[in-house]
Amino acid sequence: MIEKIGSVAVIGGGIAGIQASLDLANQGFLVHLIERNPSIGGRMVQLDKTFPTLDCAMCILGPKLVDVQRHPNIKLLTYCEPSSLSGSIGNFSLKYIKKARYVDALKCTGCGVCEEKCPYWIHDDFNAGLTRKDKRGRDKPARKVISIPFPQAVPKLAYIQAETCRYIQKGKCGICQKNCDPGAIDYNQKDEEIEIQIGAVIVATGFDPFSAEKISSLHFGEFPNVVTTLQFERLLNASGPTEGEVIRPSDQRNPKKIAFLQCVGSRNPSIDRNYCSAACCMFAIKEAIMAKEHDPSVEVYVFYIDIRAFGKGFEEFYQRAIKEFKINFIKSRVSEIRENPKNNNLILKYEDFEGIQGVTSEEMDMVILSTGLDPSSHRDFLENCLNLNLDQYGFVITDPLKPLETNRPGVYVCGVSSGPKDIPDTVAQASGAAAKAAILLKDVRNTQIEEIKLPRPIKVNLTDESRIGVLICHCGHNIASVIDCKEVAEYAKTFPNVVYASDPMYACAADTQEVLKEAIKEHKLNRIIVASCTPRTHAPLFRSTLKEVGLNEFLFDLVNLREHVSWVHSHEREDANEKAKDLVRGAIARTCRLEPLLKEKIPLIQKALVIGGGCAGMTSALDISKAGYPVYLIEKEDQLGGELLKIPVLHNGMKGIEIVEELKKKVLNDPNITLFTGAELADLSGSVGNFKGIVNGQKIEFGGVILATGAESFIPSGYYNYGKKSNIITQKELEENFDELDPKTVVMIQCVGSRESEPPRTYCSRICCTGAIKNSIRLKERNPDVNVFILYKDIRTYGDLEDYYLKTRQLGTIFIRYTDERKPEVKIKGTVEIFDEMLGRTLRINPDLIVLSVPLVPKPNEKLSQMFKVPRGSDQFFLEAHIKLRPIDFATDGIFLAGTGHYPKFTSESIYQASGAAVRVMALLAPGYLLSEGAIAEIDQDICRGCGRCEEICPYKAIELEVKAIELETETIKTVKAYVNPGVCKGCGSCLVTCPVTAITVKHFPDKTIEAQVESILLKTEQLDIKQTP
Amino acid sequence: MTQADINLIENDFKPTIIVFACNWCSYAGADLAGVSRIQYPSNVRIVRVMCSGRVDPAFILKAFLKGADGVIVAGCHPGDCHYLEGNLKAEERINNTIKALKVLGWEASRLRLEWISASEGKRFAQVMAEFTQQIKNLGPIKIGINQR
Repeated sequence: MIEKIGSVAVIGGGIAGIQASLDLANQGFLVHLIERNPSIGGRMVQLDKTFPTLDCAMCILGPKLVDVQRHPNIKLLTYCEPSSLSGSIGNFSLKYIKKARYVDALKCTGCGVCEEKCPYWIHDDFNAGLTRKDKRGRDKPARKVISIPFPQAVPKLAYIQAETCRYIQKGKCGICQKNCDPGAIDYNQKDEEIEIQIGAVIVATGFDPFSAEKISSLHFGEFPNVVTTLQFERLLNASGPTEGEVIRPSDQRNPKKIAFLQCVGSRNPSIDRNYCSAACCMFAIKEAIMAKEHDPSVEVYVFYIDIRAFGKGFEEFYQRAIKEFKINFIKSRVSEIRENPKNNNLILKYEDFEGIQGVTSEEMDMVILSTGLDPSSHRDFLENCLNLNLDQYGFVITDPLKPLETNRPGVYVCGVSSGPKDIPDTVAQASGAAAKAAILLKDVRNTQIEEIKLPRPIKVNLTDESRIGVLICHCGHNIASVIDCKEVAEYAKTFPNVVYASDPMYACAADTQEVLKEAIKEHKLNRIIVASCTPRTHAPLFRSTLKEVGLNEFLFDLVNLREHVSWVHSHEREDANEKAKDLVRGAIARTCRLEPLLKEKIPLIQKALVIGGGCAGMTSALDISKAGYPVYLIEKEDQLGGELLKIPVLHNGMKGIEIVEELKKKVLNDPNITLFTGAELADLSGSVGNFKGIVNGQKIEFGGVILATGAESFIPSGYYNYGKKSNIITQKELEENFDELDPKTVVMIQCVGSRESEPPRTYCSRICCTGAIKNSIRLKERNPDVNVFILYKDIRTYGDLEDYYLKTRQLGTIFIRYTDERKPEVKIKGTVEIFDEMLGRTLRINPDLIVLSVPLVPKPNEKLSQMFKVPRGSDQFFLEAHIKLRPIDFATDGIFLAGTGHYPKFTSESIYQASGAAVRVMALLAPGYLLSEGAIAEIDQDICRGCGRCEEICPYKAIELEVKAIELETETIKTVKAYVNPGVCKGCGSCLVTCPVTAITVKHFPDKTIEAQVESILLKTEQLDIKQTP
Repeated sequence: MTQADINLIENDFKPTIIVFACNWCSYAGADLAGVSRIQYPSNVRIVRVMCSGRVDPAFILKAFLKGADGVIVAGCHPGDCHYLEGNLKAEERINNTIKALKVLGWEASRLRLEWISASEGKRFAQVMAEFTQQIKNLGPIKIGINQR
């Protein structure tokens, strides 16, 4: 028996590696996070915004980068390359090369002086090779030989790219060393080989953008105004080389007419790259919208084959681009790009189907190439070092039912390494891979880590004078372009209790946390105010910083200058500045009155509940059980299996019933899983860690829950005469009766009841294109003479599904596109009329079978939504906490989601998402306790008279009346008092408003803080006595 | 005073408006207005509370006494409350407070209860713009300073 080791190597520090590392580290595994670049963050840090919510990428990723850096169980190994892996599952030995940075990590402060002084410029990968103008107007790359990778880099350390350094190569220069005050430059550093022992490996190596130079007809690198989407992203970004001004490289002018060319390096069999890169359509739409937001007068064209907006919120985003932003989408492949020698404009030649038919040309100021996702730079490493099986493109091959496992046991894979995908899918998959490693190593949890030692708390007595530190964050340009941060910081300093104020570029950056910690120590600060962005996302970060230095995390307040001031009053700079000062003043008044609070450890029930016994629910239940926690599994129907039972054959040839039987056998044989079929949950009470409910009359208790309630086919009553004639059926009905049906001519109509203009079904159902193609192949393979027509809007066979699309076209299936303006018509006699834009005329088809492709709609979930207080989107699917980075969590603690109840998806996608949800439950249950919210209600027993109004009003049943008998010498007195359950109280404050004797306070939001804050905000400048605390 | 003078006063008057916004819906709605860059008047000062049910009528009265020209209490739509029914409690209390304002002889339309969800960034901005206009039309609050 091999001895297992409780640590995991995660290879790749992009969003996938980051998520997997956090999920493992949070449950007591030691994680070695290995990244070949000098900073973690991967591709996402290069992005300006993320689709479809246009969240600022750095704003949502930044806190995660910091989480990784500060996590005691994560060893961050940046600028390291793994070189060999030996051993076997549970006990591997991994060697890696720690590349010389030529900078001593312990001495470097990340101040950036070396970068400023270094006289040599080199190609700038971070800015995708773009250049910027220097003071004399010359084009310079944005990077020096010695540099910090990017402003928010983690770790924020300089490094020298040795092959271009004059000192290292020729012994001349040495300027950086002379200028480095901390003495961190070390030209003699050498690469080191280091070996670590680990139990499992997670591969998250990701991708590079396809090299557009490989397609010579695009003239990338030759015509200056042909750029890639990644370069355009950097142009849009406020911290990019042009500081967010969109200019074209040839003459620095703002382009007024730009074109995106889709599928560069994807869907192109002629260069042997047939897969669809899955993310570039949305990427281009996002950039198109951003270009419009930067300059509403710019004309934007997108040349595409199909717009693949198949994810949650994508179709709606696409429609917004058309309707709200007036972006022109042209379904055509550009056949030629020429340059106008006079002005460097680009002349595009393409076939136009909508305007004047025939070959047209159009002159553009700038052309942007939507380059695909290319994993091939990792091929050598994956194949030869890890011995993994790869497909022809370089993606790791996985089994559809084991999407997280590779051919090498103990080596798991997630993210783009196993196929092109967007960020939410990557995040869900990364959590899933973490689940697999956690299950493997469950018995050696907590064996490799050191206990977290928090520093001794800084004592803050209520009578101590307030010593407040204030940070006014620039947030790059986000705040500073409207508000004078320096002035606001100076203003804050005028208040007597404010002993420290500064205005950092990014308050959330890792180095600012260090500055803040130092300031707390140096200035003996006992309260902190950060004026930056919304506390809803960023308060936890600053609170942990306080904790790390021993200051109570509740002695903190966040002022929202970005969302509530600079972004919404960007044209009223003077008033915005005043408002910023008012809000900071209010926060000072509030913060002076804050009290330190302690969080209580509350025992939790180390059991889980999974609702829904389909593929996702069974997978989640099995994973949680295998990790060592008992699971209740509830299925509403009489048997397990869900919708998969109704799919005879999947697109990959697997049989639905066989998949179900396999899972079912495992569930039934698992003594750790208690199964309830034909059952529903009732009488839910409690909250995270301590839920209670009743199933089939049996009381159950559980700490966390996964909702895997699934989806079902939409019934298209009223669409295309469905229900009126027996030969008009749905794809599902075709599959159910496949053997009995023998049609000669089949017309399939896509998007029936989906992609509509009004909710609830405005969404693309993701899987129906593949479903129709699967059935067309099955029909053709059974009888090559059958005519199959597929009438579609866009064919959305993303990733390797593109192969099926190609296959059915080779088999002779005919695809005819339709638009919303000219939908196909099914005549009473069964004739189908469709306008073919390629031919420019209406076709009449007389099929003997019409098959409608209908979307998945969520199974009834209203009751559960109300019971667990979790929201649903306008599409009626469950709505996750954050569409990009928290795709499997609900906003409410302890409740997670998986499978098609979240959004339509394929079986393998449900499986990895279910594993991902499982790992969240594992991390919740692992410690065996919860920490209470500190900001809860408190009842002063001396004042309480036991009237019970608070008990009545409390929505969480967190207050109970207790009768106590007090024995006196002469008599026994009974008293009734109300008590708060700290594990259940959420701190809403409803109780205290109702208390007739004001016996109740809510910690952190007591009356005095709110009143002081309001009063201080309302102080007029002329009434303000600067010498007093507001 | 001519109409022009009145207009001038109206235009010059920058009311101060306090918005008590619940953390889960209305504060998030204000965040969304920000993320979507929807502009609204800068007179608005948001005070974050965990639940609209936390807003004590005393806070509102004190705000008026200290010089607020208008107050909005903003919470989740009925049924959406993070704390189940805090918003309904707020509704009852705010309605009573509005009655109290009338009894005191103050303008009841200076206080408003609004339901604004986390996805209604646009509506947040609209409500703020519209309420600001309404308060501008009313002019500066006439209590406060004298009765303080």
